[in-house]
Amino acid sequence: MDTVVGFLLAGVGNVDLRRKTNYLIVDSKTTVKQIEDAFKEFTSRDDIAIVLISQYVANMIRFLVDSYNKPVPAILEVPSKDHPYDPGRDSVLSRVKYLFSAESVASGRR
Amino acid sequence: MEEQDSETQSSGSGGEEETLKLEPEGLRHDVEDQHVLQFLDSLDGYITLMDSLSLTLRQGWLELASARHSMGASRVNSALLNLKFHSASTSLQVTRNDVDSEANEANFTLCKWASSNSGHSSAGEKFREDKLQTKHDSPDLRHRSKSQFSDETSVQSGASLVADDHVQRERSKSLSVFGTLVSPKLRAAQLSFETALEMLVEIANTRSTMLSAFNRVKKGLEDIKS
Repeated sequence: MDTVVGFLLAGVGNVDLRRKTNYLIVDSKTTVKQIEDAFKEFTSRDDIAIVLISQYVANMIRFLVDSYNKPVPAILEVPSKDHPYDPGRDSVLSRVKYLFSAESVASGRR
Repeated sequence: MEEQDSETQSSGSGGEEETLKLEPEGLRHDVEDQHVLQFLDSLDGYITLMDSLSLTLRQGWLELASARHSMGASRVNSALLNLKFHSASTSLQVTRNDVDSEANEANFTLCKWASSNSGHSSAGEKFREDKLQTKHDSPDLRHRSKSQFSDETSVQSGASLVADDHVQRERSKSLSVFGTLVSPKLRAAQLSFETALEMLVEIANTRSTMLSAFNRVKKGLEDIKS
């Protein structure tokens, strides 16, 4: 919640005429389905360029985040207050670590 | 060196063809090395920026917690968030690099504290509004400059003062959700999250560069395999 409040203080909050917000606060009552629906909605909107998601929340919908591969909107996993950033779980770094795997190096040398 | 030159010359036309064939491959290796270096540089930049972001966010959370402690938990609360219709004051401009279809690189530019008065204005219009307020030859500013100032540097400092006033107004509007009088810690938290936002835009650009360099390197590896 503090991450969302902080970024809203920085002026990124948007509420449209139907009272739909460009953010979702995830708490103990938020279901995985709600998070998935919000992710799908934000990644399909034309007026959103970057989606910020706490890595802790991203881990709840990891399959959906990892299968997303469009350049815009960009998905950025950020740390949360109670869960520090883990580079090993980052979807972008997971995608590129293929280059450092033994298999890709060996196949390149053949 | 001279002996090597004479050897290549004496091999005749076949040798010249071999020399010519070697050059494009050498050039290709240079280009591939360049892509690999670009990928590794952007990967290093991405990880470094994420570390800096973690530090900045931690500072912001601490300041927010201090503000909550001094103002009370009921005053710094997500329940107070404004659900009335309003546009984002801070937005992004995105430019796409479609020259290389495989690269598919996007570039993000942050437009901080543009006017949020017109609900339907696009990010581009907000950026133009921002530019107009800082441009020194706009009519309002020109009028102001004639009556009060005489030289160009004064006009520019006048324009920057107008922009600063606008930014301060937008910041106050954002803080007003939590009351008229707010703790200095809340203002500090706002500045920390603004800095975090700038870092995030840099991270997004680095991510875009890294992914396009990764695609090029991956394609290069696939070409080698085939």
